[in-house]
Amino acid sequence: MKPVVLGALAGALAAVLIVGGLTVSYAAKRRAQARVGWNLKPILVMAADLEEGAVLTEQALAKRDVPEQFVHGSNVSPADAEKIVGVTTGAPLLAGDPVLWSAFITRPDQAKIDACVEAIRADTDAAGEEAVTRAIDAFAQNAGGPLPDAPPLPPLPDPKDGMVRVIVAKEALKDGVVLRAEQLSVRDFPAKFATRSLVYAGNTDAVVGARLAAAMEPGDPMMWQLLDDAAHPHSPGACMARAAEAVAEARKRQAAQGAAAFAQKEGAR
Amino acid sequence: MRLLLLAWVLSSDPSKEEVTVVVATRDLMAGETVTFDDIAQEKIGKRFVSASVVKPDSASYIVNQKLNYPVLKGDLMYWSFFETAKATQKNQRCLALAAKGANAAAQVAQARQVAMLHVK
Repeated sequence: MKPVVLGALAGALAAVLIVGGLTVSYAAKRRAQARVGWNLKPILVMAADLEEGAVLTEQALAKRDVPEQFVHGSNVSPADAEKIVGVTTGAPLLAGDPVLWSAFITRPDQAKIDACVEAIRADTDAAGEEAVTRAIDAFAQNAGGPLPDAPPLPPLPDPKDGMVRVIVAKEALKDGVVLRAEQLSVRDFPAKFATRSLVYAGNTDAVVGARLAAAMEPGDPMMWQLLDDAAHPHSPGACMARAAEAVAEARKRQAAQGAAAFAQKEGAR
Repeated sequence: MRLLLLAWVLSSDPSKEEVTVVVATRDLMAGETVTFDDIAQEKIGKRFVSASVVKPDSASYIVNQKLNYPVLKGDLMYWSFFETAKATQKNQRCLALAAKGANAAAQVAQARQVAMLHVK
């Protein structure tokens, strides 16, 4: 055989082998792709019906293979069977049901919750009362001594075209904010509603840097009784807010401690 | 005819729209409980009031409620004047501590003085 023919035959053979190899590899890849999600995976299912509150036994469980795409973290795998045997179920289960971890969440015992609340109520109330006293004492101390006598309120400004000029909130303001000039503006207000509570134009210096004792909406006129010293608040609203914060914090802390102690005592029984 | 047209234009001007609000009929000291006799209704331009002002249809919510701040006769009643938390005997001390003054005007004057004193 001529070398040329031999070479051609060898080339053809090599080409057939390469194409064949590629085809086999492609087919295997496609088969694997087609099976994605359909490979079987074992899960635990119920072999028998079980009432809520019953204790799960090994005999009540069975193994079933299901496509992996239907298996998720909530399913109990056969490898974890020993973790649930002997545990009380929190819901009724029927034969064939996949066993889910959620089936073992027991409902809170309302009687125990009531007993816990009753046991910690007195201490929680007492902690709140003590916190109020402490908070108000601290508030009074921070406020300093008696305020100097105040001069009488100045007379109302003269209206112009039935309007007076008042300082208003330019934006929504939360209680407790220390006021800045850019949060304020001056606008007309009907003279019919002018009282000596309102802060009139020309008093911006007294408002900037003061602490707002109550929340305001945009356009609400500033009122003297809602302004407070930023560093040493005196207003009843600020005092009550401090007291309310203190009581909430103290009650929360005491209730958590009481509940933990109750749970520990119950666990020890 | 022109006058009628002008009247119609003025009446439809949104800036002229009015709402009814609740105002104080007398000076009320911080800590006082508001009664129906202490409040009245007044009409005011809508652009001068926000949702913070008590409207007549909600007036019953402020009756029998204690004031956290003094209010002067004619003041619009704002929701923020009132206690939000249940008052206890303990936090009534806040009023005794903070609300000095023989009457509501003296209490407002005291608050004004506090604001004035912090001015450098």
